[in-house]
Amino acid sequence: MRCERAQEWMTVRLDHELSSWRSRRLDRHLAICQTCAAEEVTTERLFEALASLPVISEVPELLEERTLRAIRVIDKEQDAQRSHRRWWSWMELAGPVTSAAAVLVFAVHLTVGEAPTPAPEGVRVVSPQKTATRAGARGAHVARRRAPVPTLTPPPDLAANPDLFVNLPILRQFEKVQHFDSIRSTNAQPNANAANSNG
Amino acid sequence: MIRRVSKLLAAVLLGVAACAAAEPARGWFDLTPEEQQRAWDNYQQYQRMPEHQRGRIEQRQQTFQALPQEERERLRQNYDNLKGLNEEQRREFGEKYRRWKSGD
Repeated sequence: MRCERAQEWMTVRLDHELSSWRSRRLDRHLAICQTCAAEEVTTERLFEALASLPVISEVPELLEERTLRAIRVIDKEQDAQRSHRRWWSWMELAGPVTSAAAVLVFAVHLTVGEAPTPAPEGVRVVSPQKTATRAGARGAHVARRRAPVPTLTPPPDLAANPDLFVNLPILRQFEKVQHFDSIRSTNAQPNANAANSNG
Repeated sequence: MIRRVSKLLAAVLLGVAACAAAEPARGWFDLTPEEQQRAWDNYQQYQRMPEHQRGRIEQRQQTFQALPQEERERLRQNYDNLKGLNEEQRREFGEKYRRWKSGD
């Protein structure tokens, strides 16, 4: 198996959408290819890290855009470098994730911890209570709060097809959702013949 | 005259039925604030996806949009059921899915 295909299958497997025989082929490849094995660990860590990042406060849209742009730029640079130094890629990916976390923590500190700053133009201020209850109830305000929807026009690709993004979780699990009942009625335990013939 | 009006009415009803079957593409400002919030969150997730995965998502979106209203509702309901599974049920469902996918 070529590394390019293996890497494509890794992301499909992370969505639990890789068939079992492909998964076994991928495992065989990972057992002999250190580069892809390292890539898989890195990808899993990145997905876990991104999924576990808490959204605990509103972040000004400008800061959010800059952060995302910085991450994309770093990611592209890493892609270019990866072909030369694949074995070091986990160190490189740890950097942007840490940076993103640091920026988010900093943003939270700015918006929650200190005196309120005027919101940038176009960003909706959601919590006017923040100034009134700062000293006593700060802890309660740090509780999970989602980033507000900026009142500015969304990016062109979001504005062009907003339903795609509203339905994204369904589309990611499309096959499972489409055949939910058939899958549920499938026998979970393979019989011996089926297991043998599945190769 | 009555016949002509009846034909016109039938044509209008057919048109309405056809429009109702396919989900009309909505603009950003047609979304509710909750949907806008969800779309923003999901948009950020989408941007982190590899190119080939985005392509798959877009194909699925076209398939989804072309489905009749009841079918889309059925899929939404299935998604809610899938989301409602606990960890053990989810693991079991994953096993079944792999077996289902491999055609056993």
